[in-house]
Amino acid sequence: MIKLRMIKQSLVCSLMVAFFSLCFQGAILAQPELPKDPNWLVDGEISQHVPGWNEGFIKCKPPYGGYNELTEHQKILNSWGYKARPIEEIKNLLPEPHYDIMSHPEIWGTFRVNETAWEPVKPRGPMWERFMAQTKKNIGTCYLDKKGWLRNYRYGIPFPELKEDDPQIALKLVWNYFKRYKDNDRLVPMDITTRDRAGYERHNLMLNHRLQMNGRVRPDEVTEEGLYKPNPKNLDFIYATPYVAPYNLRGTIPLYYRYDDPDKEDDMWIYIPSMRRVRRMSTAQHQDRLPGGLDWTWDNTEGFEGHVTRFNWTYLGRKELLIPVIGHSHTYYNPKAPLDANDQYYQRRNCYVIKATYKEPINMKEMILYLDPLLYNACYSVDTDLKGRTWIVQSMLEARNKNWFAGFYNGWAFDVQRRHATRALFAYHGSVDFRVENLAMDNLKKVYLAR
Amino acid sequence: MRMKRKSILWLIAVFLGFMSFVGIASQAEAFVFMDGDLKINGYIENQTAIRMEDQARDRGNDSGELSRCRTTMVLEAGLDLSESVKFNTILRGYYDAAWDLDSGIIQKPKEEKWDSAPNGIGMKEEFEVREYHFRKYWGNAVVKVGQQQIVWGESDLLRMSDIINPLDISHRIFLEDFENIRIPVRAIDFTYEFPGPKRFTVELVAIPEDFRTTRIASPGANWDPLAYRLPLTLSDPFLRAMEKDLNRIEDLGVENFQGGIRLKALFGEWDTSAFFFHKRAENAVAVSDEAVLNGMLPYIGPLVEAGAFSTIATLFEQNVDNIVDFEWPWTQTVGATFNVPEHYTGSIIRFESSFTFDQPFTVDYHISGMVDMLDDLLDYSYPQKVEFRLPDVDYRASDVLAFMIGFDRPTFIKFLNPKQTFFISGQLFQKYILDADDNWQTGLGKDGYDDHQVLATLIMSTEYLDGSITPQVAMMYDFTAESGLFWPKVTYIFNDQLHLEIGAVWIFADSGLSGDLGPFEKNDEAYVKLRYQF
Repeated sequence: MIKLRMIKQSLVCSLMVAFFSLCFQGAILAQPELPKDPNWLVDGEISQHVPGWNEGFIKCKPPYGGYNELTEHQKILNSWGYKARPIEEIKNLLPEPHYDIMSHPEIWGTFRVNETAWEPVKPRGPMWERFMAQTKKNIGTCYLDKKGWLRNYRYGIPFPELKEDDPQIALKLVWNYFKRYKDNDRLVPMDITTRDRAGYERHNLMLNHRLQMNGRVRPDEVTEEGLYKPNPKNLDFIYATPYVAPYNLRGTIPLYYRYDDPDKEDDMWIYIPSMRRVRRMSTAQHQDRLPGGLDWTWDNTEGFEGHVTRFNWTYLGRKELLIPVIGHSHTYYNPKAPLDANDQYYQRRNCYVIKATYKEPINMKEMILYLDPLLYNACYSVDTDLKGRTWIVQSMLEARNKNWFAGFYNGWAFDVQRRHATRALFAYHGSVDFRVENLAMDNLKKVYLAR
Repeated sequence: MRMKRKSILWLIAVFLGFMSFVGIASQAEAFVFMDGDLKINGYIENQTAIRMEDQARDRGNDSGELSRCRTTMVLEAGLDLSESVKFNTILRGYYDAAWDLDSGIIQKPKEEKWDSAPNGIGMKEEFEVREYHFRKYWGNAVVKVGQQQIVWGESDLLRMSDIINPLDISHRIFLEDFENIRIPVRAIDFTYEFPGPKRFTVELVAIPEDFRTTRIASPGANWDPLAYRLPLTLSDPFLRAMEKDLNRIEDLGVENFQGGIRLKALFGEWDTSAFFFHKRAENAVAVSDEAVLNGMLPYIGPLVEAGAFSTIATLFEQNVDNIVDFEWPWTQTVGATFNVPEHYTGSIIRFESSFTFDQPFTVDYHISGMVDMLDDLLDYSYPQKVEFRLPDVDYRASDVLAFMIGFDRPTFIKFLNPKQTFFISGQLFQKYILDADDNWQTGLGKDGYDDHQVLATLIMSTEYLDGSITPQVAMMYDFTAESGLFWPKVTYIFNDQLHLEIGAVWIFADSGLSGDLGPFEKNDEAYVKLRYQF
């Protein structure tokens, strides 16, 4: 009788524990929520400091299809940085220049790295399964031609099987990076902010439009087995970035074509409102900094955006790092200091490290990319000047929508030599089912009220 | 001296006033209404310039005096009426305090309330609705209706294909952004792009009744192109005579219909276009009324013998509109443009050409002795030199071929700027008047009588201090006229709202008759431009 009673009590107790565990999973198992720096502004709060933010074209929104509940509320295993454990503990889990930045909050601002487990949040769902199924088919199908250009590719990761002794491993990795898991297109309303050593900031509100002509995972009426049809110009991707503010740039619309051809240079046109006409621009100087004092060059936006044939590629090995590869979809901004994405989720991943060395260096010598071993995102990159000194240090922080497609809500690029910063605040990141016609100059002029 | 001190104080006050904005500037933004469907942007700007040399033939505006102190406010509104219908308007008002601040400069434009000419807007102050137009989109088509600017072509600084809107060069010749000095016209602009990779596009432009001409500064103002040729007492009646004839043309209404077509296509890497445009000449040609001249001659002889030259001058001033008539004949222009990347040099090559049928020109009176006699007579009649060439009883017309080839190239010049390229843009222009004679007032060459022009431009700019400082230098040299322009400037960006530009313009020419730049030769200036935008 007593035994039965004990069994009943144990059962009730177990059920209660299970019930409370399920109901208050975050509260019980995660670390107690750590205090935020009052300077960290999130989403709509940023409009207090950034004119034009969260209104008109630059409205804060959840990712395409709504928030991914799994990735939005992750169980934090450990935190380092602001009001948490000392950042020194994870020195070996960060690239050295990134560690230097994070360990100097008096210069770059307060910051916290929140480690979460990979397994509970790793990619899944029908789009991911479709992508991975194609990835398997790519084994032995995709190849690099004599010029190192990717051939016979539709979608998926082109080279999922990599051997460290393969002389082309670095080149294959950069192609895996380019063809990483992402949606067919994207619209990203954003504020690109520059900040100098004295704390003076300038803001550029713009909308990044991008259309992939291959690597299209999500089926739609213009996609045939991962390829956009028709594609008579043999384009790889198109992007356009109309400016909304400030006034002198409002209505300026750069339009950029990258061709799926190793011998064909990119094309760029800009509609310039003060001229009232479209001006064709030379794309010859990829190592030039972007105008307006940004800390990106044409080649290193989002980590790397260059033409693979202009570089020699070196494989530097593997390194376990904490990377923000599956984060939440909220924008952070600190008006007092340059670092953004101040309270993101990080996962421990055994990253590939590759180096791109310019064949003809003019302004920059090398770029080092740290790639996730499955998603191939470059959450970290480090670029060096002509003397080999660390120059531009970047981080792109990846959120995930319900399909686990990548989305940006924050990113930064710091010129560590001059303590000059560029940060990107993204109000939204997601598909709007663009077609080629949507990215035609006349259509962009129509939408963005250019003169 | 007192006025100069006052000017400097005014400058300081304006500057401090703007600087006081800096504190609140970072909070300024566009005004957004109706959930973002209506946006209002704009700017307030002050341009203050000091002359660096005396006006041509010492007409009255001297070195060290104010060239302008012009405060401009521009409001630009964009309204989304629906997904496919948009409305835009640009309002502009300005006040040039130069005449109020500096009593040393010629006061006539203020006292007489002279406008730019012909039929222009106020030199001292004005408010205008510059542009207002609706746009409607259907698939690949767009139509734009209203007062607007329509821009064709590939060239900077000088225009060949950009011929739809005339320019208002009264304020600062062509040294402003063209969008601020093009004269908007009431027009219908229809564009259709055919689906396909070659992006075949057809554009039809109709200007049903709105004829506008090039506008120049009023007599006595800075940048007055007639200052070299005519004294104030003569240039004013001269322009009034022109306006009288222009009124007659403007009253013709739909008989002034102007229009054209442009075809565009992309062939491989070649962005090409071809166009045709039918319009009235935007610069007047002058003709003499022979009957009036013959009627006056019997009176002039005795006056000359009596030495009554001031009476002759008065007689001439009172009868300019009888002696000289102005016309804006019809012209037809065809042309072609292209741009293409040139991979070896990493440049963009731009090309623009035009062939104008029957471009009209004023020619000297057919009896050269008569021209010389009148020239001498005017010299005697006016204490200040007059450079007036009596026009013939009819104008002449010739076909004119013009073309431009240019390049744009971002280029690293590491010892000048280690981290950022220089944007270098060069252009070579050539113009040939195919049937010109020696007595045609072509405005080309050293004396304004050549039949061709060779001219080059070079613009270089870069960024320093993370885009805060943007120096630029623009140069122009007219090989035929041996005249040129040198225009360095530096822009400093305080923040997103407040920009400061400091620059100077030097123009050199053999005389006020030399090519396009000669008439503006004696207007060198140093300037400060401060803009607050929102």
